[in-house]
Amino acid sequence: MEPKLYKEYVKDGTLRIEWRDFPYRGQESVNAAVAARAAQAQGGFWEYHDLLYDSQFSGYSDENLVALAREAGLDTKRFQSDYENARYEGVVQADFQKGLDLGVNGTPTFFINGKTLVGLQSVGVFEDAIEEARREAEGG
Amino acid sequence: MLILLILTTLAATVFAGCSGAGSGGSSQTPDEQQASRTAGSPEQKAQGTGSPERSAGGRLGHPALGAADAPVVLIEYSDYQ
Repeated sequence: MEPKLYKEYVKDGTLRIEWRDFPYRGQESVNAAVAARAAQAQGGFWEYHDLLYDSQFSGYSDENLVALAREAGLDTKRFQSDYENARYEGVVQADFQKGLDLGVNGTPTFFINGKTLVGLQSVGVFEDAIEEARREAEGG
Repeated sequence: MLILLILTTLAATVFAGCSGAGSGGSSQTPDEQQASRTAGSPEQKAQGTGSPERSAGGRLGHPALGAADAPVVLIEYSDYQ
């Protein structure tokens, strides 16, 4: 998510951003999502999430995913155990199914207080949608 | 005979009243009650706005940034590729 939105809206309490997994591009997508949840279990989700995006062109082999955990400063032994045992795959699959139920068919898909935005968007589009949602939430 | 008829009617009325209270006093069917509890805008209500980072039983909540009571909630469905 765009850092500007974080600075503008998350820090002042206006906006909450929630992540949902929608790994629809094959097993490597699923593996990356399961690995990120293993990082989350150690409190390192967002750091690992950023590292995954930074290294997406290197692929998400098991070795790469463990290497990223090491880079993120995680307990790699615990991470490896959680990842290899697919401990959090159920969480990932539950998100995916919920997305399908809501009509998501590609990524990224955003819901801002229920309003849908599909695909990559400029910061301005998010700002407009957030401001509109804020006005509606405040009864304006 | 008249007294017997009045007592029978009274007993029937009381019985009917007890049956209603036993089902919660509502005219809704169980399905309708369920629908009432889950009604609302699809994403906001279905997903909730206060997901904890960790929930009970060792299961993970949704990763999130920002206050649980923020007036605006952005939910992103994405993958890493």
